Amino acid sequence: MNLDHEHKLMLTRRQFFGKTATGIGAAALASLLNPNLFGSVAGGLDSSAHGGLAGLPHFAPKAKRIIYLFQSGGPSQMDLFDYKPGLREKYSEDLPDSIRQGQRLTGMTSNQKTFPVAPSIYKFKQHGKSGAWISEMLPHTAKVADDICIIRSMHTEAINHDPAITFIQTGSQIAGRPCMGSWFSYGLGSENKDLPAFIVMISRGTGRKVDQPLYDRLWGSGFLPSRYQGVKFRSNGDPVLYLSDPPGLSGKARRSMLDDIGKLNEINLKAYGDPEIATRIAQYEMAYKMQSSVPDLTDLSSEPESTFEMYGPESRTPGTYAYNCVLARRLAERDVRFIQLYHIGWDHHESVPRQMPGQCSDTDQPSAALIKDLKQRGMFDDTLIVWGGEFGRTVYTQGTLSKESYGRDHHPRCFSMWLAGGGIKPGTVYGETDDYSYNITRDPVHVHDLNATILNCMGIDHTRMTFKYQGRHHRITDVHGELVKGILA
Amino acid sequence: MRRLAVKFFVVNALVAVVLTTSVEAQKPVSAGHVDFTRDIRPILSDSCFHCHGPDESTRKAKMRFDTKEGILAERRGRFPVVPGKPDDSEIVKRIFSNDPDEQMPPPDYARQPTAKQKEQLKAWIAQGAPWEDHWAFEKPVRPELPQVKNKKWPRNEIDHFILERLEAEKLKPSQEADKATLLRRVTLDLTGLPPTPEEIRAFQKDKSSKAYERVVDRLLASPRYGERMAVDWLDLARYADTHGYQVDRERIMWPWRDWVIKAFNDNMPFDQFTVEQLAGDLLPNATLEQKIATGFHRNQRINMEGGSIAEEFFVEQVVDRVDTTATVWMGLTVGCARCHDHKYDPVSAKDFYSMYAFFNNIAERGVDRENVQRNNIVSTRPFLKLPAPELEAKLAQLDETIAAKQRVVDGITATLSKQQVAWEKQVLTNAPDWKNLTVIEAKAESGKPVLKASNENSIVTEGEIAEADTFVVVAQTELTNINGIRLEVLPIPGSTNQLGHSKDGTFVLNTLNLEVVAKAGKRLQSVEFSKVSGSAARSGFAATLLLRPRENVIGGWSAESKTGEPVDVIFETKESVSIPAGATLKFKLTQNNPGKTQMGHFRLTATDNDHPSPLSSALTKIFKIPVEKRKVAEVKSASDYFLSYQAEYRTASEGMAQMNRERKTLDDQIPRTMVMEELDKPRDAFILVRGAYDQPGERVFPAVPAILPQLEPDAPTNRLGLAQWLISPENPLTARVTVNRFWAAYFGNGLVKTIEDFGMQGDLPSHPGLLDWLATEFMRVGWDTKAMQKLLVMSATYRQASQVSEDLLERDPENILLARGSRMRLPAEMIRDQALSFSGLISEKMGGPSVKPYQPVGLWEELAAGAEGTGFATYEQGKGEDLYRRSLYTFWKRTVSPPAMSTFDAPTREICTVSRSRTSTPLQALALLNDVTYVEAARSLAQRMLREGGSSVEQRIRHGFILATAREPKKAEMTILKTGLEQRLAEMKSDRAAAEQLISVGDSKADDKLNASELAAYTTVASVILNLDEVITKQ
Repeated sequence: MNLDHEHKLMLTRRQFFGKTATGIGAAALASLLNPNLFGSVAGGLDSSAHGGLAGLPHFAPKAKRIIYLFQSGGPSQMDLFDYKPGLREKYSEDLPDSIRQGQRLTGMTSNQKTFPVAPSIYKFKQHGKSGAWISEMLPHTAKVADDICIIRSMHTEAINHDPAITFIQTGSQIAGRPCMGSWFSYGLGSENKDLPAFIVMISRGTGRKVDQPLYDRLWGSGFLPSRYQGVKFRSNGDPVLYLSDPPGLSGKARRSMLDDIGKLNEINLKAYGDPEIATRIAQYEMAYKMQSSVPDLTDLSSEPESTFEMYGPESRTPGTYAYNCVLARRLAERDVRFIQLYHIGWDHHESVPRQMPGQCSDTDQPSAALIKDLKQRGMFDDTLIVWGGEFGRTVYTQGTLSKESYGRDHHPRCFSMWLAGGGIKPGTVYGETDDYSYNITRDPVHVHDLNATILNCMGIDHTRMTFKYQGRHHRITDVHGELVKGILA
Repeated sequence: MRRLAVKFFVVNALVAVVLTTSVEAQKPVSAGHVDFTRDIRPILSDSCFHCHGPDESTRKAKMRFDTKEGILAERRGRFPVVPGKPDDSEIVKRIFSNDPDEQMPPPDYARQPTAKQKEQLKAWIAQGAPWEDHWAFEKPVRPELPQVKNKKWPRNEIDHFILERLEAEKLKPSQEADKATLLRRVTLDLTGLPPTPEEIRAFQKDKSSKAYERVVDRLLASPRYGERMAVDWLDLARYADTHGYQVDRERIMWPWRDWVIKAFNDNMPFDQFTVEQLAGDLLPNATLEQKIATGFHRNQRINMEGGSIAEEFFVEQVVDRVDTTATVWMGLTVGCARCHDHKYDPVSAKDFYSMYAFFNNIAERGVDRENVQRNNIVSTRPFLKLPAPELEAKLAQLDETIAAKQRVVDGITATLSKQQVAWEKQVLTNAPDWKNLTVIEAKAESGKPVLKASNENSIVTEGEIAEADTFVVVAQTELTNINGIRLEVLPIPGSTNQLGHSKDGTFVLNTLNLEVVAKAGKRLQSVEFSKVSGSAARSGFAATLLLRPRENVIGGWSAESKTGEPVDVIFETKESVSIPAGATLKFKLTQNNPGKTQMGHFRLTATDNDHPSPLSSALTKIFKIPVEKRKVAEVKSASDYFLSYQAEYRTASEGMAQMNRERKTLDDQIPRTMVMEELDKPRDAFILVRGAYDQPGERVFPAVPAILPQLEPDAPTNRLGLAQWLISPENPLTARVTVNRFWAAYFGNGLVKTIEDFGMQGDLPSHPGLLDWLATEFMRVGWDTKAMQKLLVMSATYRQASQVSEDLLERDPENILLARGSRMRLPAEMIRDQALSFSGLISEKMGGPSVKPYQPVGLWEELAAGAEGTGFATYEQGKGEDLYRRSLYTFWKRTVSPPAMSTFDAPTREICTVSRSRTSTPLQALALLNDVTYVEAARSLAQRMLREGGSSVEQRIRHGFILATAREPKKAEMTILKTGLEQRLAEMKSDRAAAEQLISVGDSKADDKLNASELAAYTTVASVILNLDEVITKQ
């Protein structure tokens, strides 16, 4: 915890109270005086059980936590959610200029002489009361169609992976801004006392074994203090870096060492009077607690058989998406605020039909299971689930086209995502694209709009959660972002 | 009880902070007086500038309040401000109005002025509305030294300014820190390493008044000083060892990093340091070193992602240079002006792109996919090669050999070319005649399907198909020699266009092997192929893959037939293969991809035509052009192709390709470093509308922001001119911004707290006089960096003890007034370096390629998405000395920062970082307790305690304690450490195996002369010591 920053928090609080013109109310004072303020964990990690900014949430939140199922690489919208039956007749026709409208393409297809239309080979059916069209590749998602809200009109500004993922996670294509999870840690602090507020888990797709890499910056805190960065839960080695005691050191010896460190630090605290020393003492106790809370969390032996049936066979294998979904639910139960999964392998430039089955079977059942599981536990209504990638894919083929196979390049002008749970109108399909799934024809949702809406579900006015850096009050939505009211419950 | 005491204390501290007005950054408030710069401009900036500020495009009602003229100007008969008459001033009316239509700022505007601020605005106007231009844009003037009451305390000029403010605030400075604390503080501050016991003893013994100064001079002269100073500069320069985007390949920029260290150690004046890094290449007769220095602006990230649009990232690179230059030297955030005029500071979009015009003249493309050296290391042009005499000599020798051989080849070529025209004609007209083979035997190795030869000598699979298979075909030919083999794949009988047995009807051929077998059954020859050409392949299944089959790699040729026509692939033999009478051809066709990707119907044929491969359409076209009408490139391709079919030529040039490869390998070993290099003709620069790379607007020319003093009329309008302008005595910013950064390194806060922002939204200086005095002093001493460091650490202000009373903490929690020394957690590098140092593990080797110390396994790999084994995706941990180098030599991969650094707040180095946060987290505790680095360091420290400390437990503990803290342990501390040792020693004695395990952590070997249990127990004590808050803190 850093005093500078703490002081800023304090000032923010003061400004807030100043603005209410009633001075410091009793309740507010009590929260300020929370002795945990200096003494507990948070974001990356620190923030206390209270820990966030005063005045936040701005209004009653619908969701207490987020599980963000990020599908890295850019899933193909017209093979999954954006049904375009008319394309079958347009097989291999050149994409009309009236549709392409001279929009920029990546360097991978901008030299193609033709842009033959590649209709999806998959069958679609309507599901649930909402009648949402969902691809045969997602049978489990189809079963929860009435719980989710599909947005078919997402759009973004970037056309390559690195800038596009950075954009959707941080609101800027350029490195250096905090990601969404960090903003939440900073703004809302942590709800629990022995786990970080923001946890990230990564899995590899089986559809495309060599795919796009990820970057630390995606869960980095940018210009926010680094304690707000996401903590990566890893599937090999220690789940959290440096969690295990060195070999040969018993629990008893470790405890005795920690006691000594604590006592010696206290002597120094008395001599120097620096509250930072008190913080340090608390952080060591917190570290000790994590050494038991994290292994406890990642130990799935107490899960009943039914869990693994629900999430599918892969859910027993550490490092898979399914396993991470089970962990996500366990983290949600422990009130971790922002749980983010990254699933790699959606960048299907060629042979979509060869790569799609693996990706879909990795993610379909576990994602749907998460919804069912949270519902069973009464947690669905205050958990926001987000499923989607950084952009969509082109209707025209990249490389050769056949009836059975086609490739698809990056497409920022429209893509599909789904949201479910706290604050979201269930059984909704929002937005429309043209006959080619190329341009949006109704209710466009920009990345900034999506982020503003996610913040809204968490009780935050995106224009009012700011951090002053380099003379400017930064927000995750920059100076943009409109609430997507049509998807809100 | 213990916890309670802490809580109680913390609560008090908090109440203090919250309930008292803490120290404001600027001059003390005298009752009733409102100060424009301190009180008023921040209100205008925060609440008004957004619509009434420098940005013309969003300015409302044509009113601007960021200039004196603007705020006094008449607008429709009314005046925003009428000096002395608040009631006539429109601003006052509007801010006090409750009418939503009148009210300013509008009710929905986020940053409303407070009641107090409204009153201040009113008071300011009543005082006559005195206007001051923004302080940071005015040239610093050297102030008189302030008068102070306590004449004894000040040791140098700095102290006069600090004391003046303290006296005004009715505070007293703290006493000087004790010698041990002071020595440790200054040694860490100037070298990043702790003092040795010898240095501690020497300083304790030296009772002269010069003792401290002698220490400072010694430290400034140490080569460790340059390494320490470099760390902060590397953050600013966004230095790293990888390209930074996406796959994030390795680059070489360490020669630049070494240049920085040397520049600090040589005490290169800061003005020269500036000019050489921004424009060293433009200096007359620029030296190699001066060119290397320009790597400063090549440290930025470079995109290699496939499909990236070069223009887009070209712009990003130039923009990053503008942002970084403005932040580092000018303390200004100009990035906003990329898209629109700045909202708060007088920097217009035109100013921004005029700065941009200085930096867009480098011969670069914006993306890089070409210059990959050995081991996937990339240097993106422009780069220069570092001197490497041995390699250069080898290269020269090889070049001579190549040249000699080339002369022979040229001679032969001249003779042969006379036949070229005739040869071309023959190739065009004489198409190969493919002869059927007589199939003697055909079988599948799996034994599952039967291979049946039809009457057209094509082969069909019948019966059950294996998951994967290899077909063996033995056949005879009527030809006496063969030059080519053709494999046709035909639709499976009964289907229209299904060529293979896989689900989607496709096949994949992995390899084709051919042996010639004599009548007697003896293998005569395994045929080598030189060329493969096939029907249009499916994406990723090019026929050329058949030429280079790799072990265990499933890949190969596959084609699809839309209409049912056969697809084919032609293999050209390397040499003509003679077929003795009665000999047979034995083919092996492997089809190992899972999923039944075998062919269902195929035919093999052969030819003796010496040009069996189909001529490419490009060459067909060229061959049809009369020789004299061909373009240079066409002449070359035709000639190369012709020669490739001439045996005489092939023999003569044999080895040439190999030598050229060797040449590249040698050349690749010469380290390169990226530099700036100006294009002969500058690129045009334009304002980019809303910052978009593809939206050029008005054309602009290199210039500095209009609000600041301009370039000298005769100054070059290039980077050199810009660099010289930055260090000109007329420039109000550079010296201030730089001394402020120096200040922050020692005191935690800058005199201007927003170190990165000297603009109108930035904080005001806490001690404006001191800032200006230091800035003018820096220039007066000729930008002497070491002299400035000395000045700062020699001050009484710096030497104060850092103990703080509750009263003072309450009054000044951030230590803005400096009534005490600053107490700060050490930066990441210092924490690790100090542990390596006092444990005796540290390597003092300076410079060179970055190293890979301990790092938890799998960190790079888990983000690399399957690209393992490609060098940039697999972390190959170093060995020996590499594990113990100073942390600034740690390999810095931007997308996966070294965790030992990032856990302690080191930035990712993706963009310029001015200051790091200083956090305290449980993850840090876990790292210091459990990271191999620190467990090994604890054991090494324990060895020193046992070997050097003495014979008693107390002596040994004392030795370790002094090594880490530079001071004697207190009695209570000794008791805790000793009791802990005894407890754990008993345990380690009873479990020797565990003790052995603990002391074997790390690559260095434990001292086997020491008793394992004892060493393990001392290791735990050493670990306790190096985890102490005091040890990771500069007290």
